[in-house]
Amino acid sequence: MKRGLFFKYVTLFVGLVSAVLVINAALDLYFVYQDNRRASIDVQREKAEAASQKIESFVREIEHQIGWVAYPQWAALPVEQRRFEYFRLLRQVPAITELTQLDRNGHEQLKVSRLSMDMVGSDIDRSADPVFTEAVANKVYFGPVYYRKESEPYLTMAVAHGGRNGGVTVAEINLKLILDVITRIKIGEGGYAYVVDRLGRLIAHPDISLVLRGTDMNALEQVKEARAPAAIDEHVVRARDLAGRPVLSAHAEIQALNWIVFVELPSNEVLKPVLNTGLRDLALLVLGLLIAGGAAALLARRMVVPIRALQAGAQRIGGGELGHRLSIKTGDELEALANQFNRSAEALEESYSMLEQRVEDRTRELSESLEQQTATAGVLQVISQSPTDVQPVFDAIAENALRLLNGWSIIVWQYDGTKLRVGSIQGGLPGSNEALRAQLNEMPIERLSFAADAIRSGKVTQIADSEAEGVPDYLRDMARLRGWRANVAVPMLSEGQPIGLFSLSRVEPGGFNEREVTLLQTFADQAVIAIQNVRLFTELSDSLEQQTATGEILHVISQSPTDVAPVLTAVAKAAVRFCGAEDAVIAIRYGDFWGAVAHEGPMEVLAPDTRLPLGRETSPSRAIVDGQTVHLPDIQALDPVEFAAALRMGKQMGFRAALAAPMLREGVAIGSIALRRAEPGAYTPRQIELLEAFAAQAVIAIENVRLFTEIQDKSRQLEVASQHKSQFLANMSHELRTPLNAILGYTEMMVDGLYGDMPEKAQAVLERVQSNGRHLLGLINDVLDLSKIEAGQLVLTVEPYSVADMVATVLSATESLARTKGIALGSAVAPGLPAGLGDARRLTQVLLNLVGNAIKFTDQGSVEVRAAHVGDTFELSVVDSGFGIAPEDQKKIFEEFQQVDNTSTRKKGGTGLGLSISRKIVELHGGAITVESEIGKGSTFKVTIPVHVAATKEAAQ
Amino acid sequence: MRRRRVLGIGAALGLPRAAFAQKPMPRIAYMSGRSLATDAHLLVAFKEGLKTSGYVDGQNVTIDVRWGDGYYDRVPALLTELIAAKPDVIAAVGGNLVGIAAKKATATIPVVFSAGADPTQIGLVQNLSRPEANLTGITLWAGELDVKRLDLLRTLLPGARTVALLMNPANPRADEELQKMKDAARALDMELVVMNARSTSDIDRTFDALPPGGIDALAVVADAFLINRRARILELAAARKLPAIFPAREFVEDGGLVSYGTRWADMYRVVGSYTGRILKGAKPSDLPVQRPNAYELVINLKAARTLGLTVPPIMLGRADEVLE
Repeated sequence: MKRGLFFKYVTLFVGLVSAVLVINAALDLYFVYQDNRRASIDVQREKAEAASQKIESFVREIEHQIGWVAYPQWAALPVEQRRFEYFRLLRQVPAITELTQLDRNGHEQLKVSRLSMDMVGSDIDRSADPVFTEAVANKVYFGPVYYRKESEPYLTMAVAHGGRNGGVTVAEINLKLILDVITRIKIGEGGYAYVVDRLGRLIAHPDISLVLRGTDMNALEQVKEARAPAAIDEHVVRARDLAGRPVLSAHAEIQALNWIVFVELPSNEVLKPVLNTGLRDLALLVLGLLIAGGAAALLARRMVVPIRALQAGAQRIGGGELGHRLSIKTGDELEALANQFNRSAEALEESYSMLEQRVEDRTRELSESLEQQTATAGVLQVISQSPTDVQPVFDAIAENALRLLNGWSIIVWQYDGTKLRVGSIQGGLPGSNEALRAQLNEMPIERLSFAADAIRSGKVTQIADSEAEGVPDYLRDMARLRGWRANVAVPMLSEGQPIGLFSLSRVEPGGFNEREVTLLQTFADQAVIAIQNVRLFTELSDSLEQQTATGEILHVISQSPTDVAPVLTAVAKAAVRFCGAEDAVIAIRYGDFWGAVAHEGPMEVLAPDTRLPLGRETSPSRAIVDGQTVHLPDIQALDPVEFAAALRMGKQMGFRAALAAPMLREGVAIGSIALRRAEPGAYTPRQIELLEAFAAQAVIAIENVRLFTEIQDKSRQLEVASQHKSQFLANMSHELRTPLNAILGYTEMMVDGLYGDMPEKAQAVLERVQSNGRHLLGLINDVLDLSKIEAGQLVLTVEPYSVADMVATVLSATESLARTKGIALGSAVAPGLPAGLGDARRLTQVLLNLVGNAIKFTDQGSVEVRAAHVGDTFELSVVDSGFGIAPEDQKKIFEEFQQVDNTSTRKKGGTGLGLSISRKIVELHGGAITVESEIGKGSTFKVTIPVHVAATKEAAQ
Repeated sequence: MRRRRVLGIGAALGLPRAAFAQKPMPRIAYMSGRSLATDAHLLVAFKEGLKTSGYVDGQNVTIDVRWGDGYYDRVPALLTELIAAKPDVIAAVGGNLVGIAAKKATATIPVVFSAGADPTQIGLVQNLSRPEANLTGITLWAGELDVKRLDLLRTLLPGARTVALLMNPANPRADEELQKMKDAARALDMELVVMNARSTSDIDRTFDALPPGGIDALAVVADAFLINRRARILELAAARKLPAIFPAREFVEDGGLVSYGTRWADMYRVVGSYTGRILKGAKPSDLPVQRPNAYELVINLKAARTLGLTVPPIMLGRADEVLE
């Protein structure tokens, strides 16, 4: 962490500085390089020029010197004079090795040499020699460089004397003496100059040995280029020297001599300044970096130290050392920050200590609360564990209250309205509690004024100090006796009514504070809860008992609908068990007599078939007679006259207490249940209530049996009646049909003319007789059908059938009827209907009925039979355009002997049986008939039947 | 890090020096046919020339010096001695014979000679500009000037007829030289009297043999031995009141009348510089044999006065140096 900031600063600083330095150095280097390059090129050029000038001037100087003798009259001088002049020239110009005078005709006249013998007047003809001719023509002649003894370069120079008599002085120049000039040409450190002639041969070089070897410099690029006539532009080039080292080469020409002077500087020397700069800059860079590093470290330290101090301090404060204060004196924002930190730490410290205090207080309060809660919970637990007994609760309360309130002693009382009964005494003087309990128990409230006040007011009453003024004497004495000074009385209130009290005492004087009082009130409430709990619990268990008993008896009732005896036995048992009796007897009224029908218990009882006359002298019969419950707590105490029988029975059978409840059916007693007990004593209202309930149940049981038996009888009778009816019908139908058939037969025969011709009137009459007869037959058939159906004797003949065929049959049967009425009769049978399974004849009957009805009740329009197949049902519809059926009549029409309007349909005819029979047949098939109709809009009767009638559907239920 | 770098550089610098120090110092064998007494200044000049290559006697180079004292027959033995010390270069100076002896003595050790004659003539090298073997050096070209010296003598003494020629017949190509001198004398209208001396006693004897009064001048040929014996020759010449022309300025400095020749010190400087270059790694074949650039005419006026001679102005005009 500490490294981070320090390191960052240092790195940043150093990086910055080094970046700057590097850029600086790079730029510097670059510029130096460029400058250097430029400079060196320029310099080289200058040097080359200078060198060439020096060389040229060397030669020109010689020419100049020669010029001293090269005046026109010189030739005319005497030989000695000339010789002397030449000697002088030799002395002055060490480079001249030989001087020769050519006269104006080009003949040698004088030769003076350093090496060979002087010659005078040799007259050698050199007039054709370019030495002579060129000199004469151009005033001065420079010959090509030649080598003596193959190693010494020489130059022949000729100067014309001018004038008529002029002539030419020819000088042989030893070019080795240029060495001085050449070596004196200093180019930098390792730079040098050299001269080559027009053939590229080395004329002069600081290393004379190269010259003497006659080195051909043409191997060098720069020489080649310089000699090439075109490349004169590039006077300065990068090339290599003879040793192959890279050099910067510049050249300049000496036009007159046709020489080229080269000035060369080793490249690394050219670059030396650059290198030096580079090294210097590098050194500076390194130095700079070091300094930067040092400075950075220093600066960073200075910056980081206070920050670190801040951080450390903050850490400490944050770590909990709230007393720690930062001390940073940098006089800047950091110091301000540090001060801020300190202020925050102070504030934290304060609030922390305050917080600590509060936490302490809170903790104390909470632990007290906890104690109390625990105590309360403990008491509640005791309450829950002893639902029937208040004593443990009182003990628990007393103990806890004493402990929590640092009490000296505590007494818990129950109050019944007049007296206080001690519930629990704890604490106080050891061994005194038993006596105190005896003393204080059953104390009338007035005796304890202190307690009385609390009870009467319903408020907590305190005595802060028994020795104080205003405290009653008896209380002070008691306090002294009992060893306390402070006391508090807390009433126990249930729904605002006092039902108890407890008083807590303390040795030290001083009141009880609000919290303590609250605690005591809590305990008081808990005591109340406990008491109420017990009461409720008792009630509850009683109630439960009763329910159970009732339930059991009802169960027995349901189990034996035909036999009343077990029920009565059960009732008697229940009565004994739940009513706190030893013995129970159930008595039944037999008109004016009574007898015992059930008995439970050890006592003697009347024999089952004994009948006693009803009277009021025994409890059972009295109850029956009065129709009221008879309660005899003590038979011995009864009027011997009135209850003589009871007394006697009591003595005989061994009971003294009796309770009898009448069994009332519609207000009239049909019997009674009597409870008997050996010990005298009242029965509780609960027990009486319970007995009455049992009595009622016994009544129910008896009634149940009676009703059940009645129903069975009735059923049997019905059965018999039905059988008679069927028999009757079958007989009757046969009886009716036989004569009817005869009538029909004979009339038919008569119509057919079997009995002779019939007059028309008679025929008509006979036909009417026939039709009526047929109608009657139909009616009889219908009635028979219906009765069969109702008797459940109609059996379906299940066989496959075709809906289409059925429809066709029906239509053909009713066709003439429709035609007569002028109604269109049609069918719409859906194609591909599956074969049905059912009673075809009956179904045809149904369809015939429906179509017949439709035609009958339609005066104009059409009747259509539709057949469709939906799922696994057939839908057969008969649609007519008759006058429709009102909704309220739609149900009625299916009933027997009903037609919509008996008046109107009387006109139409019909038995009124058709639809009901049809419905029954359809229902037998497992289907249904429905009607849709509106007045004036026709009707649609729809029959839906399963395609396959279920095989089991045979008899109508 | 920087310290390390500095140390590294220091070490790098130090190492070669150490290595250099550890390598044995180069050794030069300096064989002079003459003597220390006469040629001390020439040895100095040699050392000066050596210095140009950065070698300083005693510091970074060892020089073994032997003097022949004019006895050329001693030279081979001395050379053998020198060679036994395994020199890196041999400087064979002070006489043509020294160079020849050196050539005979070794074919591997580089030799830098100073020859009075043309080295190609005496068999030291075949090509002046490209020595083919392990020998290179300088030539004093002294022999070539003998003729010129006669010419100058004529100019100095227009009336001189009989000229004595002191020469050393032991010198190689002495005969040819003599012939050339004779031819030149004839052209100059002089008569030569040959004086042969190859030993010290010879010098005295040959002077004694001179006809008294019949000699007008003396010309001393450039010969190492003779040059070595210059003191005696000067004495003898002065005793006979002979105007003489000498081959080296040393004669004139010591009282001789006139000399015409090259500056030996300059040439010896070249020998030294060549030696240095060879030590540096140059090969003798890279170094062409150098000839003198300049010749000086030195006249001793005092001697002239002593001889009762008037130096013609033309000679004075010609003289490069005039000693009083």
